Amino acid sequence: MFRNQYDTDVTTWSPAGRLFQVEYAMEAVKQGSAAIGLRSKTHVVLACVNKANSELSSHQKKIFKVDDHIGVAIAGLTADGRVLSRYMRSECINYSFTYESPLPVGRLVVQLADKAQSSIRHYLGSDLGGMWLKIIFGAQLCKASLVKKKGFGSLKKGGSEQNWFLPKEVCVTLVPSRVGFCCLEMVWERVLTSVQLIKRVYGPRYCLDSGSCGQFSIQLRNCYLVGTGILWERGKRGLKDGFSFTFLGLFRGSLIGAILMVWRVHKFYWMLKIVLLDLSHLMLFVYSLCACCPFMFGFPPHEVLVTAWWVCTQRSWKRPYGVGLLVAGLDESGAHLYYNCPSGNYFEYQAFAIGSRSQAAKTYLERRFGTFQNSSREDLIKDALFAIRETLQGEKLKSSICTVTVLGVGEPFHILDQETVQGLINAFEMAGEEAPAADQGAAGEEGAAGEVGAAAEEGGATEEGGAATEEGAAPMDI
Amino acid sequence: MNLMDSSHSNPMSLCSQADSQRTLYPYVTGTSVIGVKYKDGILMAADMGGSYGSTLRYKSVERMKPIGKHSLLGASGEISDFQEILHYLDELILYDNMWDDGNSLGPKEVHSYLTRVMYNRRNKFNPLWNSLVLGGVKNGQKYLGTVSMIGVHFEDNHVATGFGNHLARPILRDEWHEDLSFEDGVKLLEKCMRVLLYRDRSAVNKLQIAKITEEGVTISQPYSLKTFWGFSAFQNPTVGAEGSW
Repeated sequence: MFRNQYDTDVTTWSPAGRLFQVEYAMEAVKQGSAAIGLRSKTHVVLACVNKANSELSSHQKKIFKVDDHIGVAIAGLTADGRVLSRYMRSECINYSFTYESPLPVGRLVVQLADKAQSSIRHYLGSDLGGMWLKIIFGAQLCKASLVKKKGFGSLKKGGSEQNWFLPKEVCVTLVPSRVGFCCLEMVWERVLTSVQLIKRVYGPRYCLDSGSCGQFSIQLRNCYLVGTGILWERGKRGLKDGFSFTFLGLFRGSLIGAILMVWRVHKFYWMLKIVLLDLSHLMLFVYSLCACCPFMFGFPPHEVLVTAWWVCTQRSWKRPYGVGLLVAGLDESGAHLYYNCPSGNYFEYQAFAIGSRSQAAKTYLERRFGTFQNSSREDLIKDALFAIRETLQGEKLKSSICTVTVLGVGEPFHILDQETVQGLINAFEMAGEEAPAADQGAAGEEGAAGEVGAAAEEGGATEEGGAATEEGAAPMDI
Repeated sequence: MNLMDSSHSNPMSLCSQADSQRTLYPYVTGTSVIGVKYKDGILMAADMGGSYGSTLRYKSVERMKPIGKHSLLGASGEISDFQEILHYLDELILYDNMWDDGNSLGPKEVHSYLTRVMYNRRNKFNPLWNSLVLGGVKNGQKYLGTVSMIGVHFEDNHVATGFGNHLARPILRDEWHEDLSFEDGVKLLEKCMRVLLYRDRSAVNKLQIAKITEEGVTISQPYSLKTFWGFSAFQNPTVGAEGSW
């Protein structure tokens, strides 16, 4: 994949119907160190290669226990993986608390996939007494261009990319670039007078005279946006029966310009529109949030406090998760192994490998997977270790460079300790293991693990090599 | 559309006008429900009375309802709160079905969920004024539990609510045993219901017996129990004590 003009942001489709950012995210998965998973009817084994940045540091944690009956192995951006596993743990524990039963794996996987699919999430809610204004439509990202609002103040393009600000008028310097447009609609069913709304949204210091401007602050989920702006007169400036503010301020350390507009569209319905301009990167991402709140709980208007949880462009929500997850779980319907992609797709597998050099492991697993369903626990672990060895490309398999975890009926998810793993390796190792460094693990592998040797030989090859390996392995078919 | 989900807090509880919206006393109430485990599943009995204070006002109230594929819920206490609970469970089961993934909520999960709902409401000083009996069978496992209006919950082989706790459970403790047949179970329940009919003021002589097994739920048609009032002490009751009734 080469760089092209459609790959800058995740909300841009290419003419061929691809989302390049998502595909690049999947590339990130391929760069991580290998993780493999395999399952039988009653057990699931996850194993991964421990990669350490240097000899001095410890290796990154790639396998997480999510619950007694679910574990996950990740490949890719481990930070994203950590965040997602925290999410999974919290989902599991909440379900357990309410239903006193383990969360079915299939449902967790779907929730994960939904999370990956929505790269931007907004909700408008209130903390006053725990009222909730629910979002009834989802956000669809689409393209829109920034429109000059009549009477709003001209959008000047300055020589430098400085933003400057005048009382009574707002000017923003924009570098023409892509814009993102995000729309959420929420509908208020109660009558909200603009004064009450302003008081709530903007704080009591605000004064409602048209044409006035003053200091105000908006609390946006633990951070403050402070600035000055101008009120649109009712009926004027293209806004009927409403008001608007524009301002420039700091949002989490980055320079942000924003335009807030509220106007009545119907006797009982108000529109709230927030246009947020991220100026710190001098890239132009304009988020416009159109919101009409469904007001479904019968509370009097003065109780409503609207706080917006804003998505800053530096937040990770903005990009797809760069991590692939192998989810191993056990529930009523048996043992399961799923793979969750950054694209938001998920698949169920008998066995799978992800990360760098996973193709070698996949080739091995492809040949052996027919036996996995009825495998014993020990055989399953043995196959996992062999698959890990494939990805090592000749490096000696030791318990210090791999992590093996088991989950099964009557056996909660746990990591096998180093001695156990080393013992298993020693028991499984063939005499010919010493040869690999010299010979890329080819001839030395003859023996019961003959087909494994053939795989190692071809391990460095591409997918085409896999086919050749198949042919090579046929005489030694298990 | 009332979306006042019990898991969200009620902001009104702190305002004065909210007091009128809290449950302070029950108005239309049902009396005891009894449940027992038997060989194939759970048997539950409840009469069909809804009392308005001391008046036996409504005589066809169904106080036992099936929940999903695997559970049966019986309730005593405020009937309107029972209907509210059914509404919550309806939504719960709907979302569960919408997953369409082969998993389904069993009686243990529903019982846990109800416990959370009841306890949560109790914490807000706005309880659902019910005592619930939740029974079911899933994958061959029988489950019978109860939840009170303050969130007290437990499982047992036989449970009862209200007066049933005082009048029926002693009988069940003596006579219940593992693997009751269906007929024995019904006889046992009828014995308990008869005692309740004689002794509980709010009982009406029109009851239903519900059974839940792996196959599903069956709630019987309403019927009455035979009672006997021909005691000699009732003939000429004022003999020997003129002026008394």
